[in-house]
Amino acid sequence: MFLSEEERNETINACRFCPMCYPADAVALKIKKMSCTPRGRSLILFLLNQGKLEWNKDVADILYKFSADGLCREWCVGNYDLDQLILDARHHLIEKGIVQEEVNRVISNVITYGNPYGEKNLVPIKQIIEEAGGIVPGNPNLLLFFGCTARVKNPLLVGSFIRILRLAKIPFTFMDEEICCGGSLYEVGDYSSAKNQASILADKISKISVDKIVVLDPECYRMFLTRYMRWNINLNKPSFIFNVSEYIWDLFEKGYIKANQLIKEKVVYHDPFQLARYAVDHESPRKILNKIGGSKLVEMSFNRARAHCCGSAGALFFTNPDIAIDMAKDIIEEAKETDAKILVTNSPFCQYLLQKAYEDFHERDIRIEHIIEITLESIQ
Amino acid sequence: MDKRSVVYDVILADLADIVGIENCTIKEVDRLCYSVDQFWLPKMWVDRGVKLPEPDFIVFPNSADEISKIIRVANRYKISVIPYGGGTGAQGGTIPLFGGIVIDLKRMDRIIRIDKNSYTVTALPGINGEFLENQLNKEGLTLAHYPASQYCATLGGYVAARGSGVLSTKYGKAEDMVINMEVVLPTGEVIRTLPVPNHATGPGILQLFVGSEGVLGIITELTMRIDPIPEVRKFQGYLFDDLKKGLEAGRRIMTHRLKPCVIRVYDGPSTQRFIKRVLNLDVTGIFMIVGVDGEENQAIYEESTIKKICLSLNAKELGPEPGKHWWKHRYDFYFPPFTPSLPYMYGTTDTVTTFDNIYKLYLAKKRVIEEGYKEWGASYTAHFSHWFPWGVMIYDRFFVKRPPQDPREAIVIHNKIWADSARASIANGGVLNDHHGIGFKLGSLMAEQYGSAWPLLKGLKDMIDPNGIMNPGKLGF
Repeated sequence: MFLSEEERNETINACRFCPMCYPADAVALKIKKMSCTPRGRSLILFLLNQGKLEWNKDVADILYKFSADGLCREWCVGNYDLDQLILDARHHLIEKGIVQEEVNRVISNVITYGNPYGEKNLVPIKQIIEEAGGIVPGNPNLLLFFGCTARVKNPLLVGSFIRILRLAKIPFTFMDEEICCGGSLYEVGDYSSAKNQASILADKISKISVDKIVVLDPECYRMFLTRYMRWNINLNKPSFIFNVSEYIWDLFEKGYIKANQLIKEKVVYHDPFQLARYAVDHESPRKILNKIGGSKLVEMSFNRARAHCCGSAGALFFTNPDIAIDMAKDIIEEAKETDAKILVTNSPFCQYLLQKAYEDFHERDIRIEHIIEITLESIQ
Repeated sequence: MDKRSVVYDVILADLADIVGIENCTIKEVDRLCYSVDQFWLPKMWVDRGVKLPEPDFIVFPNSADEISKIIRVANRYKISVIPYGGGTGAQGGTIPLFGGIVIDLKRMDRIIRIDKNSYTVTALPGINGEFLENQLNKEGLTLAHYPASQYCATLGGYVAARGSGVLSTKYGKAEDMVINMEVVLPTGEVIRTLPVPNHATGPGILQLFVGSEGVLGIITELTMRIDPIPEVRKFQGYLFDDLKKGLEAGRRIMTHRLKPCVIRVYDGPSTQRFIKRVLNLDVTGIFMIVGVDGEENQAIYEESTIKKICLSLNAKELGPEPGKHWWKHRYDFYFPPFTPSLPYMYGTTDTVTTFDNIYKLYLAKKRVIEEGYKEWGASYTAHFSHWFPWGVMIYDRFFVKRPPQDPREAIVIHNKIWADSARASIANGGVLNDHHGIGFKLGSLMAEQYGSAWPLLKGLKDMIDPNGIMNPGKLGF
């Protein structure tokens, strides 16, 4: 458990009757059942502690119907960490073996195939790099970590980032055999498997001598910067860890790349929850979009620290895909309200979910891109 | 109801037939979550491990027609029906005292129409307050109803409890905003009130259902007055050395027929306890916020007239920052760790009266709590926050630091404080409650308040709800 017993009790006592963060809980807004609200879940945990309720599948169903995207904590004046409270409760369910089949599938997929999607035949990174033009000659001080979501759902995205580095003439290195950072294991509550993944990965990374690590997936980035610390795994020393938009902005600032073609349409940015509220970076993607789009960047009503989640958090897509896709639809509606023609995000999982949700829209008046893709369009 | 009984299964089947099995639940984990609201008693029961009264069924209908059918089932089997919005009432209004069917209205959450000529919005009762306000704001409009529960309460709940928001002084309480409603009666008929609230066509049935807290029927559609988002909204803070002066300033503002959007006057202990802690303003005395909004010229005129009134009563000007800060953080008071919480015993004993009574009413209630419950470490705070052309409400609270641990003893003390406080209100020209409602917290005092008029209300309830199924145990019925 990552909340101490004192923190857990304090959070439960604070949240069990409190209705104030209801608008921040996207799942609560969709399901509309009191047990699936922040106070409902906290009350359930209190009653479980008291022995008035049993840990069972009904409880598990409620605790996995939660987005864990940090917005409740951000919304709360007292900043109570409801998300960690629920994740710790999931850990308890894992220990008791009371979890739904979908949770077990996530765990076994990561352990067996190295990704939560169960994808057996990932395109080798080396092949993606070769197809993107190959490595850049020189002594690399930069390690690229792509994460499994990009490799499974959008390997071309990986190739696009390689093309940017080739245009910038930045030598890089990579891991032939990338393993999962453990993010999805942590989110379902399997802390011991997550820690195991973290240890193995950290060991592999420690054997690579570089100054910088650029992480394409904000979930991996968040894991490295925050959750790994809980296991005393500090990847930041001696390397410096960048998320991909932070690194791309650095390339612009230092003149390695230039915006040769400006975006002509209005652009709106969706903050992935990890960068909105955990390993915070609101501005580097916006700086990039301003650089390549002039004044065409607009904002959704809820942005930055208050950005709504697209359903990618809390393993919700794996346990309750309908709810996750519905949340992604809401983001597209929010984006459309700005009259933007391009919805940009900085997360391969967000991009995947938004594109999947967009399949149900009849009016195709907005396109969904990753910051890497739109940057590449501009600098080519 | 005995869940092993065949009647239970038959009722469940009937309900599933109406709303779909996916919109019914009987799971224990769900039923427990519908057994508490914001009333202190159920919270205390939870905390002390006392078994809560739970509903038998929870259903999520999507139309007045479905609700009508559910109510007919309830009548057939003589089982209670409890309408449920956001569950944010502080009076136990949604506690299923005798089990029954909780009808959770949150699936009925659509805006039907925004009329930009008449400045009205028609919406379904389960729409979330914050969501409704956001949607209106996109059109340059506002409901201007900002209760502490806005984030989680529903439109139907606003009206069913006669709720009030922080800008009610100008924009009115929820009861003042409602234009017309559709209601499902306790016998299942669906009726509509007249299309407009002001008329000369006999007694108005609209106000019969406003504030009825689910005991006379279920509101299934509402049309509310809305307003344009004001051009400006400005605040000023003042500090008085005496509560009477603060109250007099408010009275003069209102009787001059100025239209401030907000006046808030905090007594000494409130200023000390809350203003410093929550707003981080270190002031001693009687803190006052005044807000004006609307077209700029109008706001400037009102602000300067209000300033003259306050300065004539020796107020110290604190500038606009305290008011702006309060507006930005107005809901902070209701988040933990600032909101009152266990292990304290606490309650908001708000009432409303005319200007000539307010100060003596305040003193009487303060005395009742602080002297009457000294042995329990009771304290009392008050602010005056919703003003009328004829009077003002007092938002007062009691806190008991050392309540009894035994639940039964706690209830006795709790109910006695409430009864003593309520009787002090009634004895000094006030009423049982201003804007939180009655629920089952104050139900036992309704006959006392209404006196010889109570049989009229009771008769009406008996007539409209012959089987007594609608939210029993509430509003004194």
